[in-house]
Amino acid sequence: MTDLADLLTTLHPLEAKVLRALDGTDAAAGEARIAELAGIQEAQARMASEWLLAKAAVEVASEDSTPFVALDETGQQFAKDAIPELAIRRKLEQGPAAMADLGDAKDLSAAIGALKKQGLITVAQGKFTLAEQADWSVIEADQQLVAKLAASQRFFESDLAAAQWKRATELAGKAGKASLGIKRGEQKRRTLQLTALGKDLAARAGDVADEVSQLTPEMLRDGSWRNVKFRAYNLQIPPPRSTGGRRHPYREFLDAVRRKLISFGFEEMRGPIVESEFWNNDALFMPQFHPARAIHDVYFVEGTPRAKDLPEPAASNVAAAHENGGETGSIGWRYGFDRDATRRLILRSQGTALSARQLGKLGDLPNRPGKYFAIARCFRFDDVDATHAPDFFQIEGIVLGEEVHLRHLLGLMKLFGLEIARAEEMYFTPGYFPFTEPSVEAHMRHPKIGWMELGGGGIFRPEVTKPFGIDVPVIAWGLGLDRMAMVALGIDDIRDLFSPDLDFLRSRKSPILG
Amino acid sequence: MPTILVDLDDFYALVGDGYQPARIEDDLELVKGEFKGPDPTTGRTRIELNDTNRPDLWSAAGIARQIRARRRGQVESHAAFTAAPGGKKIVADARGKDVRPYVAGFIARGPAVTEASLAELIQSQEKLCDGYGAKRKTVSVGIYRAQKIKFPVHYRMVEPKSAKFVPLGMDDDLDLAQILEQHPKGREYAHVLAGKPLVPLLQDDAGQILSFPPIINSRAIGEVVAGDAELFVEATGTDLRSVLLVENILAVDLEDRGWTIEPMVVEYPFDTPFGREVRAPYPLVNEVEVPDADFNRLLGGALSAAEIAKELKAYGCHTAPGKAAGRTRVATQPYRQDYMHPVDAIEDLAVVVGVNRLEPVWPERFTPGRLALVTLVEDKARELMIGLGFEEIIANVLCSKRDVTERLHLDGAQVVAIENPMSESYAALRPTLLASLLAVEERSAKTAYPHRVFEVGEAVVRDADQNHHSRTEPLLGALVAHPEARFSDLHSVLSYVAFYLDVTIDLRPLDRGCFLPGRGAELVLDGHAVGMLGELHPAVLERWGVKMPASYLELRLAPIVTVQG
Repeated sequence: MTDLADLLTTLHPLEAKVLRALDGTDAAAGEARIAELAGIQEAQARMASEWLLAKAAVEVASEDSTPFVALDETGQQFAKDAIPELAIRRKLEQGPAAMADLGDAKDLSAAIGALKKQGLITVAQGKFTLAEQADWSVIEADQQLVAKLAASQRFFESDLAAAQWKRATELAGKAGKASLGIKRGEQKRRTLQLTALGKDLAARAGDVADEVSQLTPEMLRDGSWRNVKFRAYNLQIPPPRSTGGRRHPYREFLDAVRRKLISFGFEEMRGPIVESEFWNNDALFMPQFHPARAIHDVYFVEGTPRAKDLPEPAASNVAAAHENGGETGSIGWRYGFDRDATRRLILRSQGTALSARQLGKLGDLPNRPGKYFAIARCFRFDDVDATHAPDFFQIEGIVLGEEVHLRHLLGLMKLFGLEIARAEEMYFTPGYFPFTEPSVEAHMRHPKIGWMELGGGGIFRPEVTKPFGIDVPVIAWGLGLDRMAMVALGIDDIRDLFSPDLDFLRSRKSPILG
Repeated sequence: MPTILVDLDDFYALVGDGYQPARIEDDLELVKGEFKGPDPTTGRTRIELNDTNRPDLWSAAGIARQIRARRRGQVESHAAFTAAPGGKKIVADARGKDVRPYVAGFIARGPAVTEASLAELIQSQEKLCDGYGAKRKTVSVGIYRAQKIKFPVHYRMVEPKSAKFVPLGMDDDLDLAQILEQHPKGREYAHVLAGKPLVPLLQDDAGQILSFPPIINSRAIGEVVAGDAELFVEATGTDLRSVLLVENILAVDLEDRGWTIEPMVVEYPFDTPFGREVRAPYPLVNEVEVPDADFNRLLGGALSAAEIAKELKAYGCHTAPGKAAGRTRVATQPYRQDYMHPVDAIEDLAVVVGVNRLEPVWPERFTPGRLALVTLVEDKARELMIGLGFEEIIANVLCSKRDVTERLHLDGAQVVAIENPMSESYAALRPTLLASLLAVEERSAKTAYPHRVFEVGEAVVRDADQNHHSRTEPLLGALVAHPEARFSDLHSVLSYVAFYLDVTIDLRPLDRGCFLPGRGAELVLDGHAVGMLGELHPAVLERWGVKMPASYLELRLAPIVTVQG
């Protein structure tokens, strides 16, 4: 049993008005009548009636439906111009005409067929002619019917002459244009009456309509709030939707990764998008003949401008490392290093370019311990599709230190796996990168994705570090987290990370990442 | 990164000793290989090999050899490198120096070729030529029916019109120029010989043409078929060491499959890094001298010298005491040439020990974590914008030229474009965030207004004074769109943001196509232009299909870092 008092305190003023309106009339009433009796709008009466139906305070007393006919858009057009049969007659009144002259065939062919069948037109040598002494009265009556129907939104049986109602319903049953744009419909009507509960409520709802819904400054100023009753709210009514300022969900993900890296003691690196081949590749000991450096793998800047300056002696040391190892203890790649190509400007293709730049920034203290990271926008010559965005973020970094070795890299990757990527299990395999030796790849089991590659890393080759005067080991690592971001954001097309659709963005939740 | 196809039964048989791994993935770690499952068309197993410096691993025999070494724990030797040349020769041409100087070859005799072993041989040949030989530019390989050849073979440089033969895949005689123009392989690889008045030709002593390297073999001699049991295997190229390495790899692969290798000698009329008479297979030496302490220092291990030597042996490497005390000499086999530095031998040790047997440890040393200054300013700007109720966007930096010129009524003076764009849609770097935010409006007409969106992101602006002829600009871009959107909306936002970023920004009139005349402003900080603000021109809105008034604000963040030090 619903407690009557509870119901009363949450009764909306509109509900109270509807209850009193129904209580004051003997007959059941439709919503239009209720609105009239209660002095409210019909839409309000309908809304309040629904609430009361849900509370079983009113019930449906009667329900019926009445057929009506109406014109659709085609019919409206026919009413304005002419129905197809009449349109044909008007044409033919000007003389015999071929099918092609009567308009676009599809519309008219059915009408022509009908007219031929009724003997209203004849055909000879591919031309149509009006039949003599033909009776067009049925057609003319149809035109009048359509014209009449155009005058109002809907016509019930009582609104039309019996013959017209019969003809209209008959036409409405036909398919396509043959219906002349006449459609049938049903208007549902119901009447409502109070239930026993509703009568009880109505008897006690007298005061509700006078309750106030809102505290006002005036009430506070003059103290009148003491004399009014505040209506209790129905907590089940959905609130209006809020929109507001919000971080982009993908950015939020990247922010969380960044926060983690800072907490591990990494310092952020930033650098230019337009990069020289020197920093992007040569400083990383990628030979100039390396396949990933070709025109089909990186974007070159239009006009192939060259960087004006490269740092010395680093640039010469790098060239020597490629050619014969220089002072690095290596035999090098053994080819003629192109000192012009190294200055060519390209779009940064790997975040490791920033690590290379960092090696060049250590200056007089090249061996000082440090941890550095970057979340860098990178660009590769690739078809854009569900797995390749036009540009993308790479998460990379390095660790320098006298005591650093491969097991620290494994520890770091494990830390990333556990702390950033929610790894449930991890293992390592040997990897290959042109700039690290030894190299490893880290694999992990993600709670939602399953086994996935977390990233790769290694110890920078001496050919990478020595040209910058660095004699200590340098761990380099990179993480591939895009797939994880996509799963977190519930998307399966990487391009959606950069979606311009506001509705879509508002629908994306961003998980809380520790 | 080549992916090869192997027949698992064949592969297991090559490893030998009844090899039947429970998990093939574990052993593939030895070769940095990834098990990729069956190939849908052939049913063979796909293995991806990650190390581009180890072409000796790009075949079933090569992978099997590496696995076998560890299972047996010993270094194998191949007769191919010690057998004496059998007397058959190749004669090189002095004019080759300007074209494609080097050639090497050997004879292989053995079990008759089957369809399966032929497929295997062709696969090796292709992987070596494509992946290692830079698509035949530096090395290419030809294999022939040796019995049809009258030795010595002559490696000649000829005029393209001077020789003709029936190439593989065709029925008629074509001269070499015609082959370059008409044959599919000719068209594919013609660039390798572009600009050369003379081109290579391999002929036997009777004048029969073997092939037109590096393009195509002759049909008569260069089409190996099942049943052939004597093969001539040659390689030509621009770098003799690479040519010999490829010959070595092919020779040991065949030897491992039961073939007998008869080395051949090439006579050069000029000096090469390996002399004037060069045999193939050639016992190439590739060794490094590693300070003993470095093994453990780099890997964080505690292996004894004996353990290190034992492990390296199980990876197929020779070890010996170094010239200096406390050093070990580590040498690869002649079919490996990937040691450039001692660290390469140290990696071999890590691979054969197994990286999962190394216990991960966390970096021990404390270092302070910190963000770049410009990131701090960016984050501050983002926080302020979000507080003002703006929604954040991330867009791509690549865009179409049209989007940042015509469609914004701006000239292209600031735009850095791409020389080799993949598509028109991504042919330039955005110099402003305006197009990115208008793209949001273009797409979001159905989203209830008002729209208040922003991005803090990088753009790239052309700048002749800079080292890279451009600047990467961190920008704040903000756009409002609603029926009442006015200049003052964002002017007010600007003054709020500037107040909390602690900078004073002045406005001066700006006549720019994207704004309504008289309603655009340039932002000025310490006399420098740092952005723009204005009501967007209806003609611009129209170009983006935007049916709502909109204003735009853009602020450069790097100058703020400078001002705040």
